[in-house]
Amino acid sequence: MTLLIGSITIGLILSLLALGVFISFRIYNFPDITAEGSITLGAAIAASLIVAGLNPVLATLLAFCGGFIAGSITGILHTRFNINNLLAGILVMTALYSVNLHVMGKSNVPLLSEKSLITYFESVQSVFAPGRETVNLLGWTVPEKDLFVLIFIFMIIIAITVLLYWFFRTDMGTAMRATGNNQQMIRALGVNTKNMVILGIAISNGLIGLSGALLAQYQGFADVQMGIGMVVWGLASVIIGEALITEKNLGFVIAGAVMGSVLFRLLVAIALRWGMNPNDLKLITALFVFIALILPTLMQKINRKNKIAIADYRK
Amino acid sequence: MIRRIKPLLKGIVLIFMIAALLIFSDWRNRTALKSKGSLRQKATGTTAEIGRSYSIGIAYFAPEESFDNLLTGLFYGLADLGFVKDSNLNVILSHANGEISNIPSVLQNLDNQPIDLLIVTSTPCLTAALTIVKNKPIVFTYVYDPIAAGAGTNYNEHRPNVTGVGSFPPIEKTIELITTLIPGIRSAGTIYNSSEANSRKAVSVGRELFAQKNIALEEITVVNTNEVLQAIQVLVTKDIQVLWITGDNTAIQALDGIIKTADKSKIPVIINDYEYVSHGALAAAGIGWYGTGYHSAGVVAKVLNGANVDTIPLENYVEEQIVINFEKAKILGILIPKELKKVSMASDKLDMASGKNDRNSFMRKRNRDHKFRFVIVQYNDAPISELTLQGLIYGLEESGLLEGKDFDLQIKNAQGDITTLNSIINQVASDKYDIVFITSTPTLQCAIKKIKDQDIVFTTVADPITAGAGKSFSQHLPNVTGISTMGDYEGMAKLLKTLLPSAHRIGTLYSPGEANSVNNLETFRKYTKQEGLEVIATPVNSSSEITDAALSMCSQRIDVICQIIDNLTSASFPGINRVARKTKIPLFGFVSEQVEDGAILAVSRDYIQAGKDAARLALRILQGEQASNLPFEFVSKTNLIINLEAADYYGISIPDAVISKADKIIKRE
Repeated sequence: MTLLIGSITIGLILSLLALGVFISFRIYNFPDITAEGSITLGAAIAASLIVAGLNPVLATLLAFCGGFIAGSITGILHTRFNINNLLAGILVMTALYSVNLHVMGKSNVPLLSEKSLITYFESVQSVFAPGRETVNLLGWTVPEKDLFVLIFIFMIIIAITVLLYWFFRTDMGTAMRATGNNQQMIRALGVNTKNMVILGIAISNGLIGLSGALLAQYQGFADVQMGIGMVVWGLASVIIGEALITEKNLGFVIAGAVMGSVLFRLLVAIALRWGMNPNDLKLITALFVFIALILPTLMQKINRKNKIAIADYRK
Repeated sequence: MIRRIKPLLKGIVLIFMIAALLIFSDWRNRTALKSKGSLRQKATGTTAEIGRSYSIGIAYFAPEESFDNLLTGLFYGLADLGFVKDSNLNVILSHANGEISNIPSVLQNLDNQPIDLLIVTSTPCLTAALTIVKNKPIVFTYVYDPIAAGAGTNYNEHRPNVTGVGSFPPIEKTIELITTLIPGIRSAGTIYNSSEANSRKAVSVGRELFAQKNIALEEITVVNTNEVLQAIQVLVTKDIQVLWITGDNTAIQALDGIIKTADKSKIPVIINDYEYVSHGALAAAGIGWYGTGYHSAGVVAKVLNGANVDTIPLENYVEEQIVINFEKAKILGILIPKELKKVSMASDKLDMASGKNDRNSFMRKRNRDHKFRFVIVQYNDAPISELTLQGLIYGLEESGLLEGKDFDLQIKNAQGDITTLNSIINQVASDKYDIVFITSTPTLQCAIKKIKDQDIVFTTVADPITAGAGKSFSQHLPNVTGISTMGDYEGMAKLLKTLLPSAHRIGTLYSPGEANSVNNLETFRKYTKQEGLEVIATPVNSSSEITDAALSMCSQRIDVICQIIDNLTSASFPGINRVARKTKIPLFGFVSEQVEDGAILAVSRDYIQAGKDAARLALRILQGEQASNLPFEFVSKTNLIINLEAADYYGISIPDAVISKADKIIKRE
């Protein structure tokens, strides 16, 4: 049960990464590699500020700002200096490695006895049911603290997605989305597309930084190498989400990215749980993702065939 | 409402399905938490209780050579205390594939398995375990500095539910070693990745110690392996007298490049991971991970017997191991002081026992649960290769090693395709086997090019010298030895002369693409010439051409076919046999099975024996002998096999003198 709760929690935390990747890759069509640096940046900022004694809520918000700044630098490099978007991301990501080392002062900051958002959530449980550690749920022993962490993280994610949904439906958000769709058209309407790109990439990386901050607090440490390979996983989540939800409506697409991320982590958990040869882990993960990707279309096809068959029968 | 969220349904259903799958895989552990306290009430002892079975989980970061040493030591130590793996000790191993984001899931999974305790290794796993693992006592090992990892404020006051053994590299010893080897040294240099906590700590300790001895330390930090080469090029221009590389993962990965550049400037390299001395470093002062593992077993055993982890203090345990590369010292002109010779180990003795370097540990390993990893690479599926394989397995098992228990033998076969062969060899080269067995000449040629750091034992290779494995049978490549199965061409030539005095022209097929085939042909020519015979050789390139080639050979007025050995013709011998029967030209061969297939007679090297001989050589290497000191050998047995039915068919009478010498006779029906 802990594994299930744990993987859903990590899935939700990383769904912020997926949302960030979704904004840059899907809305702006901007292959943004900055993410690998900014997720670590968020973790580094949150961890070192918490160790320094700052309020964890504030530290987490500052992590968002850190990612936001990193993203805007990428945006500026691309729009103002005409650097290819991929290269701009690579430049910032590379630079962030050193920045992260400086932020943390070393390569790994443990957060053990520190008060973090996660310990806040856990302490709510002890107010709610002092002295009790587990709760029996349909025969499964569920560690209650983990459950509370999950509930709070879920609430945070819901809040952020609602905020994002609202933002992208304001005038400015609409202009931003339109920039990704058709730059010339939106420029003709008098919008400064360069600023829109910068803002979009900044928000994307802000979310990714936030994801890093939560992840660091959840796993209990920030590490300078934790960002490696993250863009790929974020992208995988987004694509799984798209495969699940064929609707183009913004709200559904955002929900899809979140669900994709949760689904992806659950698949990894299954690969682990079944005790397969550890060296095969990635192979199995790839296989699962493949199945998750083809399943929806397969089901559609079957549905359609059934309908046709029924229609034929009626004739 | 339902209509509005309909597009989301697919995703929600899928998530629920997978969650249900996951939760039901956990069915048996749904109340695992309750068993928590039960361990602690037992009396404290160190050895296993008879009739009880134990279960542990081990979480590690990624598979590595030094981790394997640790694991060997750990399991051996546990076995000595009565916890025998797979007998009364169930072990669940799980690693994070070298990715930090996988660590929480690995730990959560183990945390919910029915295990008595969780062993975490490596710093990132330990740090994560401190927050994530809630149900199981934690014992750590394979960690440089547990305090820096967050396990406690000092070795006695540590976090609850965790204890273990740290191993900080012997930096002081390293610097002592440097000053002994290079007296009067004034400046040293080092390269490390500043993002690795272990190297930062090691270098900061080293910096102080160097300063105390008035030695300047030039430091260059790198971020990834690609930068290492540049860094070393800068460093050698800075007038350093020695280069010290600590256990920095990044620098170690690029160690070959570092040493190459340092060599050019004649700068000796001293390292901490002695496993790498053979790459060309001068010396190392390192941690014997085998020893750490063995020592950690004591802590694990205590906890398994119910001791409370909260009250066991953390430890630092290091078996210092000094290894010196004497060959390198000679090249650099460095004198090794006598007292150092006594405490150190020569790098060339390292291969056999990687942790505790005595012969005993080999025998222990062999008797206990260290499984040797062998691989055999074959070129094609011919009877020869099958027989050799059979012999190899016989040979290994005769020495008391059991397949599956004491060793694993992976069988790789290129199925006659040279490009596949190359990829197989590449894979083998990048892996780590105790012995790489090779059959056939093309495989050997590929292997000696690519595999430099693993021991190769070849067999069923006609002429290893032409294949490039050495200058002579005793002077050869350092990591290669094996068995030659050059056919007994001399014996055959003589036999032909006695059996068929009137025969003059001998036909054979050969495969120009195989070095061994061409070479065998030449040898055969040489010996037949001595008997006044002539060899008519017809080239053949693929098994589909065999019949045509055989027919064309037979049309060249030959008196007898005597098929030399190569991979192609030995695989498609029945084709040759059919043509010989049709044209009634007597057929001789060099492979015993060919006689059963219809040849009159074969003077054959015994391929089963070739496999057995190879196994014998391999065992000598495993027991600590150097492959370079083991000369190549001819296969130790030759068989004469006669098929009387075939002799009758071709109308040849075989004298009793020859029959009496035969090892096997196939009678007329």
